[in-house]
Amino acid sequence: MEAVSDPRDAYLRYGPALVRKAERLLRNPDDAIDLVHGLFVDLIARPEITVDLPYLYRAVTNRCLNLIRDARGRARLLEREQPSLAPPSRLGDQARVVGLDLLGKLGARLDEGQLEVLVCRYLDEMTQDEIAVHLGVSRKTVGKRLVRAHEAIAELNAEHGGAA
Amino acid sequence: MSACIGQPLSWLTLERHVLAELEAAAAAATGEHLAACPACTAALGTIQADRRALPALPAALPVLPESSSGARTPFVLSEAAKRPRRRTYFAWAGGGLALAAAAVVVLIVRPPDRPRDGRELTASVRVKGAGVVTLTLVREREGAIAFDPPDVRDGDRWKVQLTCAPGGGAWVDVVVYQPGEPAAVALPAQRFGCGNGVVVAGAFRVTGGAATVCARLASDGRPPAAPPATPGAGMACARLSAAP
Repeated sequence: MEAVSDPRDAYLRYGPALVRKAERLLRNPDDAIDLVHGLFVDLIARPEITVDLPYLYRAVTNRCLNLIRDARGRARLLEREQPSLAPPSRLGDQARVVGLDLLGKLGARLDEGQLEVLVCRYLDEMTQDEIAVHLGVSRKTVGKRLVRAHEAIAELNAEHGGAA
Repeated sequence: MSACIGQPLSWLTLERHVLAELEAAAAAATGEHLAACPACTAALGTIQADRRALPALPAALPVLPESSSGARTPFVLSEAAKRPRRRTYFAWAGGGLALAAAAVVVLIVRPPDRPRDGRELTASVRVKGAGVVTLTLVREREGAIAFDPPDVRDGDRWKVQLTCAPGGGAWVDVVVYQPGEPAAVALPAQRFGCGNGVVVAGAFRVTGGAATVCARLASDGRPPAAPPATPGAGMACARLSAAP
């Protein structure tokens, strides 16, 4: 596991990967770049932190979710959304379309941990074992959070006639 | 992109594979999977083909104002907006008491945002090491984005983009000029690499009406901390009128 203590070095090394990740969630390259840039500007102010890519991946997920859960932020993102930036899923039958609008609606029903697992599974395409290691929780917890996320999606589908 | 032959390699794993950060066993397993899976190989290809340039980090940490909650606010605010405004400058002209009695008031014809050398402000400037650099102002107003808009209103959020031929680069900071106010640095000095619409790191707001926003460029190191009182050589500028 590589770890980088200088935020500027980390930005050069990991910035592009993080922008690609943010773009999968935000569906807009400019917002993705802004978000990642803002993350590293904040890290410069905290030179005591040593970062690696998994840590930064989580930070980007959380910043994206904060933006999406905010009603105004989400409205702005939806206006600028470039659907072509949605990653084609490699999950086959297990795939779910988890877009900006759905994440925003789920924000009112799921807690941060559940949303984070949802993103890890369907946008980052991690296995449940990988998610458990990534988030530092048990495999069982990952499973529970995914079940709750699936239930919330089903509730939304029922309320919106399958449109969610 | 088709479905994976089994469990897809996560994007994080693919990124770490590209960076050669996987441990030996994971790297071997990833290599085996990639050899057999067109979907994951295609995903890896999108990573390897992505050659985008990122905006430079600030050369110095910008000093952000503290909000009432203690959290740092995401914008650099124009210090000028916090002070009482003077609308015009006046100078008295006269050759003696008789003329003084006539009280001839002359409005200074050169507003503070006008270059002293009489040049017109332009959005492009030639800089050593970067060639011709063109400024684009990006305004976000109530969620709507406008490029090079004509006017400014309190509450608008602004960003600056620079365009110049790839391969070059320079230092830049962003200075805001408003009538009757001292020049204010809105975005701190930072190094940037040329490209199409390269974003200058940070965003800012301009309050208090009309303004001239200038990108101050320098080839040999960061521009002096104190901006000149008026726009001058090496600056690409755009004027903004006050929105009705």
